[in-house]
Amino acid sequence: MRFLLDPAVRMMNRFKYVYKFALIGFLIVIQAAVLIYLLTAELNKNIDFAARERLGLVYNRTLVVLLNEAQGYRSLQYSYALGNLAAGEAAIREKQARVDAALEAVTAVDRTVGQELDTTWKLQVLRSEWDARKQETAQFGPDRANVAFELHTRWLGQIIALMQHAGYASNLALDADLDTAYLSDAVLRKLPLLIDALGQAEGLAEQLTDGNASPADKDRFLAVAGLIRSTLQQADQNAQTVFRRNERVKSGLKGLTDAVNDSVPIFVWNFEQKTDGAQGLNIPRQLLTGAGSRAIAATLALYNDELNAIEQLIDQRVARYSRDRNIVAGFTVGVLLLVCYLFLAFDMSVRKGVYQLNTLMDSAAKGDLAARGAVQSRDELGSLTRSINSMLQSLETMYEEVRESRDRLELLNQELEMKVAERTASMRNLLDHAGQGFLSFGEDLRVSGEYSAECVAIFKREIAGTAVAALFYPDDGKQQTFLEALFRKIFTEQDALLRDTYFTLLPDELIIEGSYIGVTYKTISNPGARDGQEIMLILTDRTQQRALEAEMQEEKEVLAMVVRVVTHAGDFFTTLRQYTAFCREEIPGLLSSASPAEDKLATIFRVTHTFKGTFGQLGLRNAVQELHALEGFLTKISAEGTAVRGDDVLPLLFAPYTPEKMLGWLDEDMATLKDTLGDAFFAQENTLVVDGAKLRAIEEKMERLLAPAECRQLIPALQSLRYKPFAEMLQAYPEYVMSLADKYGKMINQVAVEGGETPVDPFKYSHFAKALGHVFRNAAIHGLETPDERLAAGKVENGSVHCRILEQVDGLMVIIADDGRGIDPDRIRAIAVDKGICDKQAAASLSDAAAMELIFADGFSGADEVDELAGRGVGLSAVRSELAKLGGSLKIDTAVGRGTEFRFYLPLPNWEIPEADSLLAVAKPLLEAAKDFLVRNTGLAVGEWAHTDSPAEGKLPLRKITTFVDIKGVVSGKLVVSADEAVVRRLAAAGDSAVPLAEDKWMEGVLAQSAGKIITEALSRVPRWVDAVRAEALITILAEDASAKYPQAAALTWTLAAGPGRINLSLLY
Amino acid sequence: MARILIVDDSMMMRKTLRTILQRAGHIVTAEAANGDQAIMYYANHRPDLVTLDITMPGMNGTEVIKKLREIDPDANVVIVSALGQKHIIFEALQNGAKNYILKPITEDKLLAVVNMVLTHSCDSPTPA
Repeated sequence: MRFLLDPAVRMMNRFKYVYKFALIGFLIVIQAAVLIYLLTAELNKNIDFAARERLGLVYNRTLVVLLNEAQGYRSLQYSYALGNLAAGEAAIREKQARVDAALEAVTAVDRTVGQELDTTWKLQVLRSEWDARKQETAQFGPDRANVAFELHTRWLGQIIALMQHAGYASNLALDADLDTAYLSDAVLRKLPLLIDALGQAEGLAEQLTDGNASPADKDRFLAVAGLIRSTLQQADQNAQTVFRRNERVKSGLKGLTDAVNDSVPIFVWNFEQKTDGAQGLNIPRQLLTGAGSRAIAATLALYNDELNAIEQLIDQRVARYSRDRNIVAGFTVGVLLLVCYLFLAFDMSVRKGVYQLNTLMDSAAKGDLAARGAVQSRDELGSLTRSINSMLQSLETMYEEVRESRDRLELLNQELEMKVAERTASMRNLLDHAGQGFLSFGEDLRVSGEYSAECVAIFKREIAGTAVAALFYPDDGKQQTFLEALFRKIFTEQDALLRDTYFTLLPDELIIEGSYIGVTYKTISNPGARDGQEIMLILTDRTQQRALEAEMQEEKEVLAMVVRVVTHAGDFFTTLRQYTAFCREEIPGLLSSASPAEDKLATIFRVTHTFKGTFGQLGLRNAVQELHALEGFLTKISAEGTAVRGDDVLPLLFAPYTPEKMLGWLDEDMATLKDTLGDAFFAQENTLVVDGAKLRAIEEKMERLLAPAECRQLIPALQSLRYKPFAEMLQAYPEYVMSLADKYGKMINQVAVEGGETPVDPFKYSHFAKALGHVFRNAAIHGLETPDERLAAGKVENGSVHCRILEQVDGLMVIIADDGRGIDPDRIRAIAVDKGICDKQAAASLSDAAAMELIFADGFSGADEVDELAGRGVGLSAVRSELAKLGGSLKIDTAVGRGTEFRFYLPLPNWEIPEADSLLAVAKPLLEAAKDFLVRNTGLAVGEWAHTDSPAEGKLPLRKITTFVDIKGVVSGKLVVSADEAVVRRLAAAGDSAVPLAEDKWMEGVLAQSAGKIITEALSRVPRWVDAVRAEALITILAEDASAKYPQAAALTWTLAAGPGRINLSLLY
Repeated sequence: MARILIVDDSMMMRKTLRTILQRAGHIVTAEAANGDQAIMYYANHRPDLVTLDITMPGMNGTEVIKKLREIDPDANVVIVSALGQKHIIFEALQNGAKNYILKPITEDKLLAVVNMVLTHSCDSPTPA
C-alpha cells in the first residue's frame, strides 16, 4: 500500500505547507464547481423543458377557442344550408367574424411562438382552408349541406391536428410526469375530439326529426354518438387516473368532470333517442340542442380547466426545479464555502502551529531555551508542541543542571588547579631537595626550561638552554662532539635494542666543578616537546660517596699494609735497611762511578723496580707511588737520548732526588704503621713487638671492613701472631699450685701442663683461663690431703695435680685432676642445705651426680672459701659461667678417697675450622633445600637423605642425568646433582621450561635449572654466604651408567628416594 | 643454539669465547685471527653471529663490519672491545654492529649480549 502513496508523499514533501494546502484546496473546489455546474445544467434543462410546454398550453388555449367557434360555425352553417336558419346570413356573418377573431388570436400567438413550435405553416394552411370555407358558404344548398358539414368537419380535424402538433412540438405530449401526461393527452386528443364530436352531434341534430332519419344517417349519427361515448370514457379515464394520483387536481377538476359526465351522456342519450325515434321519447329539438350546447360548454370548461391544471402542474414543477436548483446551488456553494472556510482555518491552524514550532526550534537552536510554544490545538501538533515544550523544559532543566555542575566543576577545577599548583610546588620542592639534579633535553640537545635546583648547585649556574655536551665536558671539544653524535643517534635510532646499546656508551660519571657526578639517563615522553621524546638526566653528587669509598679503600690498604708488615716483619725491616742503603750509598756511588750512563740508569731502574715490587707486596702505597714516578722519570730520560745521559748530566738530573727526599717517601707509610702498631714495633729491629690489644683492634677492623674472602686471606696470618697456645695461658698455675700446697703443708709432686699447643685467641679464653685458677686452688687446698692423712689412707705422701689439654676435632678438652680425697656427695648436700641453696628434703632426693652439680651453684662459694670445714666447691660458679660464655661443657669424675677429675670441653671458633669442613657446612642447608625443592616441585613422596659411602678409587657413580656445579668463594668445591629420569621428568612437568628442544637437551636443562634453584635457596639460608659464595653451572650430561672421576681429596654423597626414582647429591672438595 | 664465528687476534681470547659460547650450547663454527679470514669465512658460511675484536692488526673492526654488511646487510656482529674505546664502539655501532661487550669478558655478560642480539634478530622481520 505504502508504495502506492510514495509518489504523493514525495511530492508533498517537496512543498511548503502553504502549497500543500493550496493544492488540495484547489482540487476540492474544482470538483465541487464541476458538480454544481452539472447539477444546475440538468435542472435548467428540465426548467427549459417545462417552459416550452407552456408555449403549447398558450397555443392550445387560443386554438380551443377557435375550435369551439369553428364547430359552432359548422352547426350554424349546416343549419343555414338546410335553410332552417331564421337569422340567416347576418348570423352567419357574425359567426364568421367570431371565427376570424379567434383565428386572429391564434395568429397573434403564433407570431410569438410559431417559430418555436413550427406551427406557422400549418396555421397558414388552416387559414387558407377557412377562407375557402367562407367562400363556399353561399354555394351550398340544403342538398349539399352535408358536404359542407363534412368539409367543415375536416377543417376542424385540421385544427385538432394543429393542436396536437403544437402539443408535440412543445413537449407537452412528451411530458415525463404522469399527471401532466394524462392531462395533456386529454387536452390534446380526447377533449378536442369530444368537442368536435359533440359539435357534430349538435349540428346534425338540426335535421333530425323523430324517426325520420335514413338508415345511413341513422348509422352515421349512432357512430358519432358512439364516438362521443368512447371519447368521453377515454377522457374520463384519463381524468380519473390523474385524480387518483393528485388530490389537488381532483378537487379542482372534479366538479367540471362530473358536469361533463352528467351533461354529455344525457345529450348522447337524447341524441340517440332522437335518432332512434321509434323507441325513444319525443324529444323536442330545442331540448336536444340545449343539452348539446351545455355538454359542449361543460367540455370546453373542462378543457380550459385542464389546461389550467396542466399549467399549474408545470408551474409547480418549474418552481420545484428552480427551488431544487437553488437549493443545490446554495447548498453546494454553502458547503464549499464552509469547506473553504474550515480548510483555511485548518491551514492556518496547522501552518500557525508548524510555523510556531519552527520559530520555537529556531530560537531554541539559537540558545533561547526559555521559549515555549502556545498549545493552540488538541491535535498532534498540539501534543507535539506540548512534547517540545516539555523537551525544552527538560533541556532547560538539564542546561541549568549542566551549568550548575559546570560551575561546580569550575570551582572544583580551580581547587584542583590550586592543589596541582600546590602539589607541583611541593613536587618541585621535593625534586629540588632530593639531593639529585633533574634536567631534560630534547633533540636540540639543549637543557629544557625546567630543571631542579640541585642542577644549579652542581653546575654552579643556571643552565636553561645550555648545550648538554658543553655542560658535561666544558673543556673537551672532542668529547662534546662525541656526546652530541651519540645523543643524536639515540634520538633518531628506531631499533630499541640498538638505542639501549647506545645508551650504555654514555658516561655514567662525570667530574663537574671538582665534584664526582653520577649520571642516569631516561627516555621520557614529554607531550610538550616537539616530537614527544626527551632524555631526562638524573645527576647525583657522588663526591662524598667517592670520598667515603676512597677512605674505605685507603683504610683497607692500610690494614693490608699493616698485616703484611707485621707478618713479614723480617722482610720489612730488611727491605727498609736495603732501601736506606740504596738511597744513601748506592745511588750516589753509582752516579759517581765510571760505568756508562746507560748502565747506571739501567741499574737504578732495575733496583727501583725491585723496591717498587717489594714495597708493593708489603702494601706501602705512598712509597710505591713515588717509586713509580721515579720509574717514569728514568724511562723518560732513557728515551731522551744520549745527550741527556752524559756523565755530568746524570748527577745533575738526579740532584732533586736526594737521599733524604727518597727516604722521606717512606715517611707517610711509616707514620701510619707507627700509629697502628705503636712505636715499640720499630724500637727493636729484629724482634717483633706488637701489643696484642692493637692486633686485636686491627683484626676487628678487618672483619668489619673487608669481604669474607679477603678476611680469609689476611686474618689467619694476623691471628697467628696474636694467638697463643692455650697451655701458655695456664703456664702460671703449676707454680701457683705448688706454692699453695706448700703454704697449706701439703706435699706435692711437680705439677705440669701437658699439651695445649693449639693457638687460641687469648682475649677470648683468658677469662676462662683465669677462672680455672679456682679449680687449681681447690685441688691444692681442698683436694689434696695432708701427708699424714695420705699416709693414713695408704697413699704416698706426695699428692699429684695433673693438667692435660687434649686437642679434639672442633675444640679443646682441659683436664685437671688430683689424687686427693675426692668429693663426698653427702657433704655437698649438707653444705647446700647449710648455705640455703636448697632444703634438706630436696638435697636428699638428689642423685650423687646431681648433688655434685651443686658445687657450681652461685653462693656455694663465697665468704667461706677459707673455711677449712667447708670442704670443696669454692668459686666454681665463676668457672661455670665463663665456660658457658664460650659454649663449653664440663664433667666431674670423683671418688671419695681416690681423687677428683674435672673435664672442661671448649669449642673452637669457625676461623679455626679447616677449609674442608667449610664446604661440608654447605651440605646441611643444601640437603634441606634440595628436599624442600623436590617436595614443592614434584609432588612425589620424598624420603630422607641417606649418607652413602663413596666407593674408593676416586670414582663417583652417576644416575641418568647429572649436573656439575662449581662453588667458589669462601668455600669452594664442586656440587654434583645426579637424578633418575623419572625424577627429572616430574621436575620438568612442574617447571615452565617450554622451550622446544631435543628431549635429552630439554631434560638436561631442567636439571641444571633445578640445581641452580636449589643452590640459590641453600645459600640464602646461610646469610653470611650470600655474597661470599658463587655457584657456576659447569656442565650437564645425560648418560647411562656413567661415573665421574674426582681427583679432589674427598667426596661425600647423599641419596634421597623421590617417588619412583632417586636423586644423589655429592660434594667434592 | 646459534652458529657463531669468533674473530679475535688473541688466541687466549678466542679460546675463552669459544669455551663460554659452547658451554651455553652455541656452535662455534670457526675462529678467525684477522679481518680477511673473517670476511672470507662469512661469505662462504654465513654464520648466525660474529663476535668481532674491534682492534686487530690489519683491517680494523669497523672496516670488517662494513665488508660483512656488504655481504649480508643483516649480519649480526657483536663487538668485543677494551674499556675506554667508546668512540670506536660508537663508530662500529653506527656502521651496523648490533651490540658490544667490554673486556674483561665474563660469561654472564657475553651470553646476555649474544642472546639478546640473536633474539632481537629473530623478532625483526628480515627483508626479502
